[in-house]
Amino acid sequence: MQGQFIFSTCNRADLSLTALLRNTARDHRAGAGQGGAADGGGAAVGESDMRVGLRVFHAGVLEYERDEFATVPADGFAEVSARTCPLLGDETREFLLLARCRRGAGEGYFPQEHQVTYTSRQGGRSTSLLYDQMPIPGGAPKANSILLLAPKVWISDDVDTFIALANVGGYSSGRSAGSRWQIDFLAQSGAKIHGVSVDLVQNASHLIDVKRTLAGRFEVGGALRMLTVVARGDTGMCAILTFLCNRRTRALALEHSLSPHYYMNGDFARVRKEAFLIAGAGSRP
Amino acid sequence: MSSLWTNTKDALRPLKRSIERCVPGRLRVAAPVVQAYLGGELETRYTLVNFPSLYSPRTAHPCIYDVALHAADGREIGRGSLRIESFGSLEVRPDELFGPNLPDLGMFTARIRAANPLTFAYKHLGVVTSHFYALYSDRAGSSLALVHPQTLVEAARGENVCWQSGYLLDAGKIRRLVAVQVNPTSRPIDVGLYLVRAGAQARHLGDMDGFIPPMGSRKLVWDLPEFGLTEGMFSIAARGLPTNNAKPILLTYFDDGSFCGMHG
Repeated sequence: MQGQFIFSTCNRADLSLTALLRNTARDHRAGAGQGGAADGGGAAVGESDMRVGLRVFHAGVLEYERDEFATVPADGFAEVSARTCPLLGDETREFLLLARCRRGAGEGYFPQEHQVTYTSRQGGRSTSLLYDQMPIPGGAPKANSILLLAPKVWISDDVDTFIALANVGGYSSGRSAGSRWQIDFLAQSGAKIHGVSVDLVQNASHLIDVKRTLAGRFEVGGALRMLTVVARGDTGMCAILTFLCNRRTRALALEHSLSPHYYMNGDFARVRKEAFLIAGAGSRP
Repeated sequence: MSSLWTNTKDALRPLKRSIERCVPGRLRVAAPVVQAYLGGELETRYTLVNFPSLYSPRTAHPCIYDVALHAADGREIGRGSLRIESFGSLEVRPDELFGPNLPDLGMFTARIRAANPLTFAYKHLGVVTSHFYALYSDRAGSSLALVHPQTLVEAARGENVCWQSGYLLDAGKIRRLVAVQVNPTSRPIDVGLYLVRAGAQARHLGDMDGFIPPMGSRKLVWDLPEFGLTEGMFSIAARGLPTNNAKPILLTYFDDGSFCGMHG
């Protein structure tokens, strides 16, 4: 059984990354994950070792590869950080990390949550998140359109939001072609504040600094103002994390995104085709 | 006779689907989504979004969220209906919506519906489930926690679930652990939470069993040194959950009094 965990650095927000790759097993209770909201079961102790291979990319280029990065015993963990992967000590660049996890025999997918912790280099505050590894596609990954709906962006004089897009493409070394993404910033009124079209390199981590992107377009003051970021593009696989950072107090918050199947169950193909065609929506507030 | 009936139904099914596509119909919605409310020394914000309009922008319509707030004992504090324009969102601050005298702990529910009950623009979305996040903070802004909801009102029962979080919490860095549980059901729930040391000396400690009333909530606090947890990794586990995915929200407090938070 196998799966891959996709995660990324967030150096531009001055955060250091530590990931704990877990070897637990989902409990097998009846009806788990049918509640309709996000995230499935919890952890129960696994029965066999989990073997981990690690690849680290920067801007589409494979810079670190170790097929036998770690062997994780049942209920144990392997740490991925600058301590165990010195390349991550480079704070000047962003990295995409792919941990390929194998347990037992067979090529099928096994669900497994892993933990990421980001710690501020200024003051030591940290925040953690647990999310699932994804299947390893057979052959070259097929690009599909992806939708990001993030009604969880706040900015103020002190607070900024960063959205990290860990965009996975092919697995071979060398710079991979990119894919076009449209990213729109919407006020609570529904008015479009700004839109950017970006070419996301495959096998790279892309960080959107919301406050910097909206500089001069959205009034920022002492009070928190919430807005929504929506994005659409093509990707083989993508892990998207949202970071809130208070630069004065060093407070941090982190959450992952939820794919559309968490809040609709109809015609996904039509939604992926039509969604976010909102170029004509409103104007600046 | 039964095969004639079956064949007739099969033959008419495409016609039924064609008719359904053309006639108005209500937006089909799942049960209300729930999330914990934290007041007192903390502030809570919820982010409601008109996502059907973003998913079907050519036929976008305003939507309504029916929201309610329940106290820890399950009593309803207030309810309201909030209109959100096409492509819009709304930051909800319970103290602005329900007044300043709110409890320290409770549960927020939100259920989306179309502003026009006869619109059929969103039929292709199927059943939609309300979508929002919660942002918890202290009043000084020195702590933030962003958490997505995990369960719905009257979701599948979870009393028999044995759950252990995949989080490894570092007792060397955390001074206090707070877990917040909600019970989004119409029946009282008797559930337990406890801590588990990681590794070879794995053992349970800090058991806290308790009763959560219907639509109620509870907050549990572990002062870690009191339980001998001053170093090493540990996790949190449950004996039963109110619904099968109603895992607690965790707030981990550090020595300086600040916290971060996550879903369990």
